[in-house]
Formats: sequence, C-alpha cells, structure tokens
Amino acid sequence: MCGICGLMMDDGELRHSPVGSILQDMMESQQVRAQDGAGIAIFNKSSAQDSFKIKNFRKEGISNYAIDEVKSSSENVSENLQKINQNPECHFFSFENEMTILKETGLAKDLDKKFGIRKMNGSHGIGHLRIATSSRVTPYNTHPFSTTILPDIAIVHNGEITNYNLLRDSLELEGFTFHTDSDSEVIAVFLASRILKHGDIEKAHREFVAKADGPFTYIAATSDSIAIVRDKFGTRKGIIGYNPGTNDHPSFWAMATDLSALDVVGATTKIETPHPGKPRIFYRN
Amino acid sequence: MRLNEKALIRKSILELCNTGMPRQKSTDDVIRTIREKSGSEKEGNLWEYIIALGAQLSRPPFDPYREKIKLTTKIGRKGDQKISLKIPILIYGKFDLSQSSKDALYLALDNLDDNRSTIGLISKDEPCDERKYPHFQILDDISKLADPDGIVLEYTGVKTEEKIEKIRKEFDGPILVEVDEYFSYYTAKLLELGIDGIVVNTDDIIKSEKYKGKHAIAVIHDAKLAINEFYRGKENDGACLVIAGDVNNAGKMVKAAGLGADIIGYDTSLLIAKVGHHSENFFDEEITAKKIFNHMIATKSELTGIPAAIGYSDFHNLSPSDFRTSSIKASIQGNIPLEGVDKTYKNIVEEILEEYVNTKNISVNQQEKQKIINLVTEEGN
Repeated sequence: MCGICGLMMDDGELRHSPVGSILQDMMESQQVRAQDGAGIAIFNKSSAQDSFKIKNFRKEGISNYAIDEVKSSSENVSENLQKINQNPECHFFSFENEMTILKETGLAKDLDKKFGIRKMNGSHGIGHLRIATSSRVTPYNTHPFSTTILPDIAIVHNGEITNYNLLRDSLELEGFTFHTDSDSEVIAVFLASRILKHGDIEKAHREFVAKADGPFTYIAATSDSIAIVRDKFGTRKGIIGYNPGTNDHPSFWAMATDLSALDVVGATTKIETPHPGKPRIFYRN
Repeated sequence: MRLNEKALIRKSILELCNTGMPRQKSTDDVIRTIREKSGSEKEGNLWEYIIALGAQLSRPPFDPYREKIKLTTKIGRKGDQKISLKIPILIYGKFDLSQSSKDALYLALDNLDDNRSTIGLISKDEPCDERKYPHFQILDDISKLADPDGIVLEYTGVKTEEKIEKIRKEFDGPILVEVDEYFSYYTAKLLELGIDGIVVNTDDIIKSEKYKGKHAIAVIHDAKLAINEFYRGKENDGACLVIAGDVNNAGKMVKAAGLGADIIGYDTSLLIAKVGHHSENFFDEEITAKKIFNHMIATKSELTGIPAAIGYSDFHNLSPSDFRTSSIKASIQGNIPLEGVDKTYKNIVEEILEEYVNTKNISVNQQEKQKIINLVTEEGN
C-alpha cells in the first residue's frame, strides 16, 4: 500500500517552480498509506552541463548508511559506472545528470527536514512513500529507483510485479545490471533498456505493460517526460488532475495514488483515471 | 506414498519443532534410503519433491486474474509466420494410431479450435486439407513436404543443418528440431540457421549415457540454458522450447513451464484416441473425439489454477523462483530454491565458499571458485 505522486509544470523552462514544495504536500497528504521510507526525484538541472553524479550507499556500522558521490564527465562516466557494477559491496543509489534523487527511511517530513525538499525547484518530479512488503527497510530499498544504464530515469511504484524474477533474469541475460532485490527496480532497468534499444519512451511503457504481470501503478520520469502507468486490469489506483494556476502560482499536471494528494495542491480540474494498461504521458514543454 | 514414509515426514517435522535445528538430510533422501533397503528399485521421482509457492500477502491473487489467465503461445520468430496456440500444447507421442483413432483426434482438434482452445499436432502424417488446428509435419524426406503449418526435423548431425538451410529458403512457417542429448553443443548453431525452437524428449534423453542418473528436470533446465546462451546479450525473439516425454499431467506441465518450457509435447490425448477401440464394443469416432475434447478442456482449466494462485495472469510468467523443493538433487538439477532457506543448493555452496575464502584469507580466482562449486554440486547430485 505505497503512495506515489508526480507533477509536471506546464512551463518546463520555469526552473524556479516550487516543485519540491508541491511534491512535499502531496507526499504528506498520503502519509497514512506508508511510513517505512520516503523519496523524491526532481529535475532541476540543465542538460547542457557535462556533469554526472553517481551516488552510492556506504554502510557505516550496523544500521547506518552514508552516501558517497562520484562526479564524472562524459569522458570517464562509463569507467566509473563499470567500477560500481563490478563491486558487489556497493549499494547503488542513483545516476544523475539533470535530476536529483533524495531518499531515506522514515516519514516524508523527516526527508524534508534532512534535505530541505520544500526549497527545491525544477520542471517536474516524482515522490514515493514506502511500506515494506518483500524487502527490508533500508535506504537502498527506498524509491525512487534509477539505473546505471542511463542517467535521469527515475521510477516510483505501488504494487507488485509478480513476474519480477522472470523479467530480471531476461534483462540480466541481455547484459543489464541490477543493484537491489526490489521488484520495482525492474521497471527502471526495463525502461532504460528499451530507450537504449529504440529511444521511444511511450513504446517502452507499452512494452513493459505487455510483459509485466501483477497489480501495479507506477510513475516514471525522464528528463523530458513523466508517465503514470497502471497494470492491464487496473487493480491499483492512480488519478490525474490539473491545477490551472493563478498569478502567483504556475499551472501544472499532478498525479497520485489518492485523490487527497490532488486536493491538497489544487489539482482538481480535468480529473481522470488513467486507462488500465495505457500509459498516460506528459512531456516537458 | 506409503504409511511409513508419511510417518517419517511427520517425525521429521516434529523434530524440527522440538529442536529448532535444521535437518542434516532432506526428508526425501531418508525416504529413498528406506525404499532402497526395502528392495524398491524405483528412484524417487523429483517431480514429486517440487511444490509451487502459493500467493503471499504481497503477491495476492485477484479475481480478474482468476478469470483471465492467458495461456496463448506463439510459435515462430518472425512476425508474419507465427502460429498461435490457445493452450500451450502440441499433441505429440510415439504411438501408432489406426485411421479411425486419427480421425477422432482430428475431429477433437477441430472442435477445440471452434471453442477457442486451439492446440497443435506434431505428426508424421500428411496434414488434412480442411483442418482448423496447426499441424507440424515430421519430415524425414524434404520431398515429402505437404502443406503443413510447421515442420519438425529430427537432429541427425550436419545433414539436418543442410536440410534446415534448404527448407528455410522455401518454407515460411515455423521449423522445430527434435534434438538428442548433445543439444547444448549445437542449439545455438540451429537457431543461427533460422529454426524457431527445439523439441526435447526428456524420456529419450534421460536414457542416454550423458544424462544417466539424472531427471527430466535437469534436461529441461539445460535445454533452456542452451537457448539462453544463444540469446546472451540480446532479447529472445521468440525461439521456443517444446518439452515432450515425461510431462503427462497438468501438475508436471506447470512445473515444466516454470523450469523454462514454452510448450508441452503431450501424448495423453493420443492414448485416449488409441484406447477408444478397446474401451467400447465398437469404435465411435464422435464419442472418442468428445473424450479427447473434454480431457483437453479440463487440462486447460487445471493449467490456469496454479498461475492464478501465485498471482499471475499469464501462464508463461512462471519461473523456478515460484517453486520450492525439499530435495537437494532437484535443487541442483533444476536450479530450484530449497524449502526453508529459499536459496538454491548452488547459492548456498557459493556463499559458504565465499565466507571460507574471506575468513581464511585465501587467494582464489573466479575460475577456481567455479571449479570447486561445480565439484561440490556434482557430488551432491
């Protein structure tokens, strides 16, 4: 019973939009759904910069973790990623160029207290509240998940990918690396593998829905898109709304598990439920 | 199962409850010892030691799944030449049938297609002209190619490879090759030549020297591995694995699918057609066809049960991780996790070796580690 949310500002160039603040409100309004972990991915940097961040978890003591950050340019990023893929001790956190991922165990307000989410700006972002069902309560099992295959892919997920093992086996056979035991990671890796193959994000989502089994809704963000996708039977919730904006407040599309998250940020027009099995995608203007 | 074997399982469970200590031996090893001492030559059938994991809290079966379990399977690697089966079964066996038995079978297959339950047939006979079901013709002689939907060739070495090259130019439909025990050496070559899948008869292969003492599950596991090896680094474009022989009921079909089979070569329908002569005073084609039809519809229902209980909406989403076994032998041969620990025997050996190497600070390279693991797992086998 995780809670997920996401938003895409109408004006994609508006780097000063209060994306962090809106996401934080949406997460806190759904806190009742899950309390084991919280995380966000916000797209807040320019694609022009040749700067990649590879973040990893480093265990400190029995239950504490620190985050190591390796800055790379396009020249040495492959080499640094290879080091991570080959190091079994490493708990991969994220691979970022335009986005910033922050995640931690505990409540959404604790995440804000630690990282100052409300002060973050950007063009779009996603958020997640986790309740642990199949894997342990650790920061590296917390959403959003990204991949070492391509930068700037982040997914948050509510539900179960029941054929996770089969999908993971076939992706590993294709040569893609996994870093956690979470079934959610398979969504990120699958999308990255298909973007690499044909570059069509909508097709990638459709292919995932065709292959994945189980009850799920996920929100996936790339540097220029955000999509909400429900399983083909629509067994998990998902809702979309639009806030037309005011003079002080820019307009945006919002999506979440619960209607309460749309209410709290005023995204109460053009309400719709995504059709089961059909990705609903919003592109950055 | 015998009474003393049931008592042994009960005793074993009570021991675990009392002591909290893990077993030194799997229960089936002890049962096998009893059987051997009592003069039984029959080896424990590993199928019996594989169980499916039911749905858990996090993997709930939903009513929509129960109602819509997809069994449809495509045969063929190219879009325009794929054959669709509504039940992943190709009727295939090595029985000689009378013409009336064959007619009953053909009628049943047509009726199944009418009822959206299409299954296929592998046969040496020429396909009927107005059939509704897909017919795969077993072809010894290329000149005898009639008008089948698919072709099955028996692997006999380089000559088969030459045949494939020739037929592939003329025939657009799926080509399957029935392989022998050395399939792991040449499956990649056959797929390279453009075949659409392999047919593996587990009954024949476990009789060979190479698979002596091994079970059908080892053959299925290895055959899937052979196909996967060809696709390493790329996506499988639809090459299928047809498992025939020892898979003669719905339970085994589900387990075989979990181990990697895409389609089952099934011979029970042929038996029903054959015994149509013996069980009736006279042979009634329609009655026998009805029996085959009913049996297949019942099998179809059974095939949807376990995937539904696990939380799948597609039969082909089963994988070894959906099963557990109490048998070390089954764990090694089928790469199935062991009950209680949820790890395969091979995983456990790998972990112990890793810990030992680290604790003792020994320098062992990856190749040497693999050699030790193979040695230990072969011993356990």
